[in-house]
Amino acid sequence: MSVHINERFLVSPFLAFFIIHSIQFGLGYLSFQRGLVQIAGQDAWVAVLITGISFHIIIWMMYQILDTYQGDLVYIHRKLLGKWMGGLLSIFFIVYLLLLGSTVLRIFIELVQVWVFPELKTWVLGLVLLALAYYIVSGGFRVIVGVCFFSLLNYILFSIYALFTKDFHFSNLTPILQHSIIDIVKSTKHMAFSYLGVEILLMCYPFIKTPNKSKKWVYFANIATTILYLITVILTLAFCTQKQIIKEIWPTLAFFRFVQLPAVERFEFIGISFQILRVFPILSLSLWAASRATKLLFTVKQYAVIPVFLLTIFIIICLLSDHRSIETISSFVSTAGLYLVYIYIPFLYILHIFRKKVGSLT
Amino acid sequence: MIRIIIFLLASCLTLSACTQKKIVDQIALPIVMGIDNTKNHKLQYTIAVPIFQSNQSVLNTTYTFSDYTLKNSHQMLQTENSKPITTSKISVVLCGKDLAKDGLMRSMDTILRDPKMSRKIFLAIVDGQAKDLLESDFSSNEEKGIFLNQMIKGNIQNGYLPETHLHQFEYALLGEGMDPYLPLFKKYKEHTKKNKERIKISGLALFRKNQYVTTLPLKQMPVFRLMVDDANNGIHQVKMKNHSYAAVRNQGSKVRYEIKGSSKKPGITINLTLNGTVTEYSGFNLTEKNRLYLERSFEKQITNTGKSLLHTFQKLQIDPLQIGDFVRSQTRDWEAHKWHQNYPDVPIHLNVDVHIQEIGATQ
Repeated sequence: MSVHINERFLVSPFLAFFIIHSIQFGLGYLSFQRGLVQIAGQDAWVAVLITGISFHIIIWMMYQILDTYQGDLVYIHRKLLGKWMGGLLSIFFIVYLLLLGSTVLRIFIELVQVWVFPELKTWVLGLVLLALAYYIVSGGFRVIVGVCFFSLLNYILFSIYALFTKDFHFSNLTPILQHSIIDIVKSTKHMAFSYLGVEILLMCYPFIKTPNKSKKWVYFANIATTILYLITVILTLAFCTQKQIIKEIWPTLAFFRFVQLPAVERFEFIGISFQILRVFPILSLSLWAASRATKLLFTVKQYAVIPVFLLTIFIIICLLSDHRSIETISSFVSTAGLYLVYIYIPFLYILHIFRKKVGSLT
Repeated sequence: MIRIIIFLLASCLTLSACTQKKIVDQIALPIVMGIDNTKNHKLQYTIAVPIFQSNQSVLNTTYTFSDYTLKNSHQMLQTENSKPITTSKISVVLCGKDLAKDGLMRSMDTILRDPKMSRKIFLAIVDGQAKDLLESDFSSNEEKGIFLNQMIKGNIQNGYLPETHLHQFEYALLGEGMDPYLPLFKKYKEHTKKNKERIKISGLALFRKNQYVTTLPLKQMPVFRLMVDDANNGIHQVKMKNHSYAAVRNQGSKVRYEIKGSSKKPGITINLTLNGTVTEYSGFNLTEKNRLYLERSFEKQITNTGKSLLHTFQKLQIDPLQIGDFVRSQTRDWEAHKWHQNYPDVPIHLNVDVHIQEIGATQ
């Protein structure tokens, strides 16, 4: 009763760490402090912690569902909600994944346009990057996981914080917990975009060899993401005053503007280029998951679907012409992701418990 | 399949050079820029473009234009120049004193907004007009921007100048319970036949948020440096008995703020400890008794100057020592406007503890 996949397409359980961590740790890292600090002030780090814990619970729920059905989301939808209702929800999931991919790609292109090449046209870079994405995704799931693995190279950028030790004012973090719990919980809404991506597990699950062993790696991935965000938010708060953080559109990049190396005058160029390592795991994983879901849903060939989706993403990113529309779509995607993670997955979990009870009764 | 990939890769290669190229030899890279205000509410924008000579010396040509926005002036200067001018190498920004009196917010905006500009830029105030200073030949053969940059850097590392770059200025400007300060440059004429023009750091310009308020004279800067942050450089001159003087090198000073009393009526204590080495003593024989006297006399000297500084700050309602921010971090429900009302009357004590560790090679 489960989905079976040929063993040569499967990946080792520990690679689940790289899948989940690299899709979570996206471009949100460059700007998440802004929304957080606006509401929670110096207690922003508490919000990071709360969101991390809540995602832990969500991962646990996902594993509960997946372990029972031993399949992916499309299969679970069909089993739980029937052909039509389940199919419709699967289509929503596909649309969400495509929007997620296009948002991340567009944000990256915007970064390049603002910081490196102001004259660059969106479609030019979009075309080049999507061609590369096609190359990765057509290589199959194992190639995508390889890209996820190499995306961790961008940890090198964390070393620049060592250059600022003199300028950190850790007194900015005190007094601790001055903001009300309600404010802190409210601010987690801005945090969610940076944690989104764990839902990809619903599609990847059948591709992991002995999924039971992968659990701890997925939890580790979430812990790693939480720790990195904590470091980022605490150091940003120590480096800037709250008003400065709110004034910056990409507070993390403010650090880059500060670095001057003997050989490299403008460190941002390196910093921004490194962000591509964050873009590709998200773009290719969401593209792969969307095309795989379409294949299962409509029994079409995956190779045939990918170009169509690439074209869709290409059109979407070309239509997003200014900063405001990019902000609109990214807040739309993060709200959608928020509902998906905090409402839909618990709903599925409850439904699955309910079914299990009914099943055991009859 | 392979064909498609080859085609795409080929198109990538052709597309890779589709933005405007900027080759270092073919652009003008000014390192210093000056901003002044004019009578008709415009900003006067001055840049010193370096021209590198074949004998390794550098000539600077200054260009000036006044308009309501700095970026437009920048564009207009292009009409006088053969090479495209970029702002990416700017490392010193000078502002005229009059502009600073009106407030720096307006001129800072473009520096912060332009992603091409570093945040490690040094800001400085000019006693007079920034344009006059940049046009004068103060650096002889050196590039003016590099000269100014190294002058500020050197004074931060070896002198009495507290660290002041753009980020710190913005930090103190936007933060609550603190006010920024910047070095103040002054142009003067050498008293020789040549009448050569020179520049010097004549003090520290103190701000109330973005407005220049007063100047801290050079004489008081050493003590201010000790009170702002931990330091481990700088010479201090101490008056001794019988018109003799001693010079003490700072081997490491620590400053810690302490809060006492209730949150409604806080009292601040500044604890300053300094370890020093005697490097010169005009009384020639430094006995144990003299050494103790030196310590007490030095303590008294720092306390007196420090107290008069604190008094000035409280009277003018400026907070360059970031005492307000310290109180904020130590008390709950701190409110900026209440603090500002109370600030002039807050009792601030200064405890100085000087310890002479070494007396040099002779007694």
